[in-house]
Amino acid sequence: MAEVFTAAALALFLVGIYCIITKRNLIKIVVGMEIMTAAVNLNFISLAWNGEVADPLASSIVLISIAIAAAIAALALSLIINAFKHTGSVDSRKLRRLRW
Amino acid sequence: MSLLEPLLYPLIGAVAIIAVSSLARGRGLLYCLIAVSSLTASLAALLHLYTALPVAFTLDGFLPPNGVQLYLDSFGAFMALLFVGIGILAAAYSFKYMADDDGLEKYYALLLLLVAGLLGVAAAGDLFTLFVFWELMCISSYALVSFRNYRWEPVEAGFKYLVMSTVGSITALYGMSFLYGITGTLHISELVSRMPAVATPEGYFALVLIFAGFGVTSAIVPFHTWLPDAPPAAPSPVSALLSGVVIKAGVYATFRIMFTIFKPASYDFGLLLIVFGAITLTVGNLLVLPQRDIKRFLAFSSIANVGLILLAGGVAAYVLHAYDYTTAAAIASLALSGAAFHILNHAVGKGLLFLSSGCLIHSTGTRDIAELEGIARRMPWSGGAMSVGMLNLGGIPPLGGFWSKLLIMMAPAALLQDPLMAVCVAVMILNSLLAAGYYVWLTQRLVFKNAPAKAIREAPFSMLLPVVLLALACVAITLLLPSVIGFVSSAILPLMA
Amino acid sequence: MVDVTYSALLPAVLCWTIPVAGAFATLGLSKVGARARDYGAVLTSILAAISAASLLPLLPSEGLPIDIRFDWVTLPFSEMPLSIGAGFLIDPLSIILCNVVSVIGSLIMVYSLKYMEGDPSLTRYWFFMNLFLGNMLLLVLSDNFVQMLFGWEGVGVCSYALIGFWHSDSKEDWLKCWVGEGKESCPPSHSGMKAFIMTRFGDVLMLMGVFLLIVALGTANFLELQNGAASVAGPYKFLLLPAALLIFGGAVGKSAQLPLMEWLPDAMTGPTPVSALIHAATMVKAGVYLVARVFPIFYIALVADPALITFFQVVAWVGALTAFVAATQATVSTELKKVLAYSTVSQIGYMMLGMGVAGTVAEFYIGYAGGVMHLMSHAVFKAALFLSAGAVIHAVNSRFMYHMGGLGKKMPLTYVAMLASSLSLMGMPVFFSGFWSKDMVLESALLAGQYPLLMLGLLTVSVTCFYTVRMLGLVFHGKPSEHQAAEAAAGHLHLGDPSPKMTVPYQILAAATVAMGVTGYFQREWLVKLFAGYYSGIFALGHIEISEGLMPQLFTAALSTLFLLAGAVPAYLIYFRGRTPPQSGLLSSIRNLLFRRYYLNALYYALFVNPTMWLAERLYSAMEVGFFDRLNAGIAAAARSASSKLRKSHAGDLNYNVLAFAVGLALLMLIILVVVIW
Repeated sequence: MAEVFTAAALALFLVGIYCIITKRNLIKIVVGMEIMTAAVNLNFISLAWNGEVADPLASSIVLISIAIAAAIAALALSLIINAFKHTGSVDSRKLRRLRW
Repeated sequence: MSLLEPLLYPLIGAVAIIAVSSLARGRGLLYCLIAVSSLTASLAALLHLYTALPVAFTLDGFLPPNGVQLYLDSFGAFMALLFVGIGILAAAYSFKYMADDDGLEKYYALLLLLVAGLLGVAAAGDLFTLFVFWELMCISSYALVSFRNYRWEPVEAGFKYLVMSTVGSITALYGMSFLYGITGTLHISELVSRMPAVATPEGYFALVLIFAGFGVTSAIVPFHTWLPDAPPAAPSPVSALLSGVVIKAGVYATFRIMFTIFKPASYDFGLLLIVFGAITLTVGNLLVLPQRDIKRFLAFSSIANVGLILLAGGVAAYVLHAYDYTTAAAIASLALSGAAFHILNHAVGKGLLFLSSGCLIHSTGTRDIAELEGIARRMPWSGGAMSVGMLNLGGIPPLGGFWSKLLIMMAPAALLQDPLMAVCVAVMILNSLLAAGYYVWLTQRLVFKNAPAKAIREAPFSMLLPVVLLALACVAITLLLPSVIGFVSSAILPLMA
Repeated sequence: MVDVTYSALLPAVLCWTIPVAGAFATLGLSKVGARARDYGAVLTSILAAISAASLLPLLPSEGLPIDIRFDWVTLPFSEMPLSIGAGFLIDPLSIILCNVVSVIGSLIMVYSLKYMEGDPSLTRYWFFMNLFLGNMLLLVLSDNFVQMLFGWEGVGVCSYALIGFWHSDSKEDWLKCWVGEGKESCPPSHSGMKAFIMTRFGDVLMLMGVFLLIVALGTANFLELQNGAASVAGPYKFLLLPAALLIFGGAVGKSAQLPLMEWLPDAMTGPTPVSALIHAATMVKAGVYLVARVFPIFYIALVADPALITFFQVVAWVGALTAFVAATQATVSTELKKVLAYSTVSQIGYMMLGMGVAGTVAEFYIGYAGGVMHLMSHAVFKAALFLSAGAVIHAVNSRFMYHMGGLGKKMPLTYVAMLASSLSLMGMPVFFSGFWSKDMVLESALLAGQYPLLMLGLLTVSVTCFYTVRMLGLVFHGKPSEHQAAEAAAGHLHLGDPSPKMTVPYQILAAATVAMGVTGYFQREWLVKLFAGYYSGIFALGHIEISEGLMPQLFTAALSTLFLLAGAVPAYLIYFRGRTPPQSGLLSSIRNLLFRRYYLNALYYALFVNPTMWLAERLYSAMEVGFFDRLNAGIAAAARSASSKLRKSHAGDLNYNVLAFAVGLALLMLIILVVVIW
C-alpha cells in the first residue's frame, strides 16, 4: 500500500519539474515548485507508514516543510510583482536579459 | 547551551535590529554595529568551543533520534569559522557600501539570518536541522540578492536563483526522505550506523538526488546556471558571501552526507564526483574567458574552483572505494586536506576579490573590465589587495592557492598507474594553467595598463579595512603554511572515519 | 651552550637580512629624496658591518661551530618527506669572512657617495650594491650547499648588473665604462654578459659536484658532510673525487682562475667602487671560501679515499699557474684597472695554492691559515688600490696609464695610500701585511716539499714586483703626458686629491694594511693557533703540536725578498729612472703574446661564442618563428572558439535552466546505473 504512495510521490515530483520546465508563466512556475514540495511531503509520509501508525518524526518534518515552502512561495510571489513592475508581464521570456 | 550560542547571537542580533528600527529611525551605522558585534560574539563563542570538540547540543525532552540535535565536529567547526569570519568582514564592509540604500534594517537582519543559517548548516546533527537551516540560509540569500529591487537585474537574477535553488533544495529533501525510508531516522550518527553496508538501489537513488540537490547551491555544472547571474546582481558584500561561502556550504553538505553516511567503501560515488567535478572545472574555466563584466568573471571562476574541490573529494572517494584502506588512507587524506585547504583559500580569496572589486565598482560605478583598466594605479590599496587575491587564486607560488592545488594534485599523482587518476592529474594541470592564465591577465589589465583619465578616489576606510585584512590573511596563510596544513588535515578527520 | 647559540643567531640573521631589506628600502627611499636614499644605503651596510663585528667575540670560544637550523615545512601524509630548511653556520671561517666583506663593503659604500655623485641611475646602483652585500653574507653564513647556492647565484646576478651598470654604451662614456683597446674593447653590457656566462659555466660544474656529493654522503649540510666523510659507504667512495673536482670548477669560475679567468679583466667596465668591492675584495673570494669550506670534508675523506689527494694537488697547481700567467699579463697592460684586475687573479692564485698545499700534508694549518690570511690582507690592500685608482682615473679623465704621469706631487695623499698598498702587494718585509700572508703561503709550499710550486710562487713574486713598480712609475713619476695638457686646456682636468669622502676610505685601508703588517707576526701566530685548534677538534686529531720552527719562516722570507728585488730593480730602473729597456725580437714577441692574453680570449670566442650565436640565429628563424609562434596562436584560438561555442548555451532562459537541471539529474542516474550494473 505504501508503495503506491511512493510511486505517486515520484509522479508528482516529475510533474512538478515538468511544470517548471515548460510553463512560461512565472506564477505557474511557483505552482510547480509547490507541487514538488507536495511530492516530497507525500514521500515522507508514505515512507513513515509501518502498517499502523505513521512515525511522528515524519509528520513533524512535513509540517515544517510546508511552512518553509510557504515562505519561499511568498518571497517568490513578491519577486514576481517586482518583475511585473520592471517588465510589464509575468512571462519568463521577458526575464532573459542576463545571458551569456 | 554552549553550542547554541554561536547560532543564537546572530538570530538575536537580527531581532534586535528589527526591534531597534521600529523604535528609532536609526542610521545604517547602528545596524552595522549590531550586526558586527553579534557576529563577533558568535565567533568568540565558536573559538571558545574549539578546544572542546566535538560538541553536541540537544533540547531536553527531545532526545535523538527523534529530537533535533546540533553537533559540531572539527570539519563543521572549520567551516563555521570560515562562515563567520567572512560574514564579519562582509558586514563591516557593508557599512559604507550600502550607505545610500534604504531599508537597511532589513539588509542587516537578512545578513545575520544568512550567517545564522550557515552556522546551523555547519553545526547540524541531523538532516532535518540541516535542511531547516539550509532553507533559512537560502531564503535570506534570495532576499539579499534581490535587495535593490528598483533595478531589473537583481530582480531577474533573484527570481532565477530562487527557482533553481528551491528546486535543488526540494530535490535534496526528496533524497533525504529516501534515506529516512531506508533507515527510519534522519539523525546523522544514527544514519551512519543504520545504513546497510552494502549499496542498494534506493540508496543510490537517494545519493543522486542529494548530490543534485545540494549541487545546485554548490554551482556544479549543469546546475550552476544561477551563479553567473546572482552574485553580479547582488550588492558586493552579498556577492562575497554568496560566492565565497554559500556555495561552500553546498560542498560541505555534499561531502558530509556522502562521506559519512554513504560511506565511500560501500557506495561508489567517486566516479560521479570526479566526472562532475572535472566538467565543472573545465566549463567554469573556459567560460571565464569571454566575460566582460568583472563580477561575472569572478563568478565563473568560483564555479571552476568548486569543481576542483569536488574533483579532490571525488579522488578521495574513488581511492577509498577501489583500494584497500591502508594504501588508500594516506592518499584520501591528502586529497581531502587539499580540498579543505582549497575551501579555505577560495573563501578568503574570492571574498577578497569580490569585496575589492566592490571597492572598484563603488568608486567608478562600472563593472566593465575594459573601463576598469589600470584602475589599480588610482586606487592602490584596493588594486593591490585585489592583485594579491588574484595571484592567490591563480595558484602562483608562494601564495596559498599554489599549495592547495599542489596538495590536490599530489593525491592522484601518487597513483598514476590508474588511468582515471592519470586523467584527473592531466585535467587539473590543464585547468590550473588556464586559471593562472586568466588571473594573471586580469591582474595585468587592472594594474599595469594606463590609469583612467578621470580622478578616482580611493575607497573609504571602512571598506578598505576588510579588504586589506583578507589580503593579509592570504599572505599569512603562506607564512604560516605548516600550521595551516596541520589545521586542515585535522579538520577533515571526521570525513575519514 | 644555549646562550651562545641564541646570541649568535640574531647577528647572523641580521647580517644578511639588513642589506637585502636595505636594498628594497632604497627603492622606497628614492621617492623620499636623493640624500635619504644615499645615506640610507650606506647606513644599511654599516649596520651589517656592526652585526658582523658583534660575532667577533665568539672567535676564541669553545662553542664553535654553531649551526642554527630551521625546518620550514614538511608535507603531511606523503611517503616523500619534503622538508625545506634554512640554517646558519657560525665558525671561524664564516666569522672572519663576513667581517671582511661587511667592513670593506661599508667603506666602499662611503666612497661611492662621492664617486657616483650625480649619476642618474643611483637608485639602481644602491639597490644592487646592497643586494650584493646581502647575498655575499648569506653565502658566507650558510650552513648547507643549497642555501649557499642561493647566495652564490645572487652575487652572480648582482655582479652582472653592476658590471653592466652603464649599459647605454654611449661613446661619450667610454672613459668610465669601456675596457680594452682596438679589437678587444668591450662595452659594459657585453662584459656583464661575459662575466655572467663564464661564471655560469663554473656554476654548472659546481652544481653537478654538489649533487654528486649529496648522493654520496646523503646530506647537504656542511657539518653533517664533515661528520660523514670518513665513513663513506663503499660504492660512493668513487664519487668523491669527481665531486671535489667539479665543485672546484665552480670556484675556478667565480674566482677567475685558469681557464675561466677571462671575464675578470673585462669586468673593469663597471664603476670603480664596484670593481673594488666585487672584483677585488669579496665576490672573487667566494671561490676561495668555497674551497676552504669543502677543505675539511675532503681532508677527512682522505682516510676513505686516498685518491682525493689529487683534488688538493689540482687546486694547488691551478692556483700557482694562474698566479704566474696572470702576473705576466699584467706586465704589459696599458690600463690601470686592468693591471689591478690581473693582479687580483694572480693573488687569488696564491690563496688557492695555499689551500691546495695544505691538503697534502699533515700540518694543514699553515697552508690553510696562509690562504685565509692572504684573503684578508689582499682584500684590504686591493680595495685600497682600486679606490685610489678610481681617484687617479677621475683626476686625469683617462683610464690609460700612458695618459698619466708625474702625479706624485699633485696627489700626495693618494700617492701615499697607493704606495703603501703596492708595497703590501709586492710583499715588502716587514711592515706590510702582504709580506706576512704571502710568505705564509710560500712557507707552506716549502714545508710540504712542493718545490716546483714554490718556484712558481717565487717567480710570480718577481713578476708581481715588476708590474707593481711599473704601475707606480708610470702613474706617479716621470713627466706629465700630453693628454693631461690637452685635458687641462679642455677644462676636464681635476688634479689634486679628491674630497675626504673619497680619500678617507682608502686612507683607512692603506693604514690598515700597514697596521696588519706591523702586527703581522702575532696575527700569523694567532690564525695558525685558531685554525689548528678548531680543526683539530673536527679532524679528531687531538692536541696538535705546532712546530715553532722559525727557520722555515726566515728562509722563505729571504727567498721572497731576493725574488722581490729581482723583479723590482729592473722596473725601477726603467720606469723611475727612465732608462730605456733593451729592444729585442724575443721580448717584443713575448710582449705581443702577453698583450693578446695568450690568445686564450680569442680562442674562447672562436670556439664557443661565435658558433653559439650562429646556431641561435638559425634556430630562431626555423623554430621560434616557424613553429612555436604558430602553435601558441593556434592554442589561443582553440580556447577562444571553445569558450564562445560554450557561451551560446547560457541563454538566460529560466525554463532552459531548470531543463538543464533535469538533464543533469538524468545523467547522474545514468552514471549510477552504469556503475551499479558494472
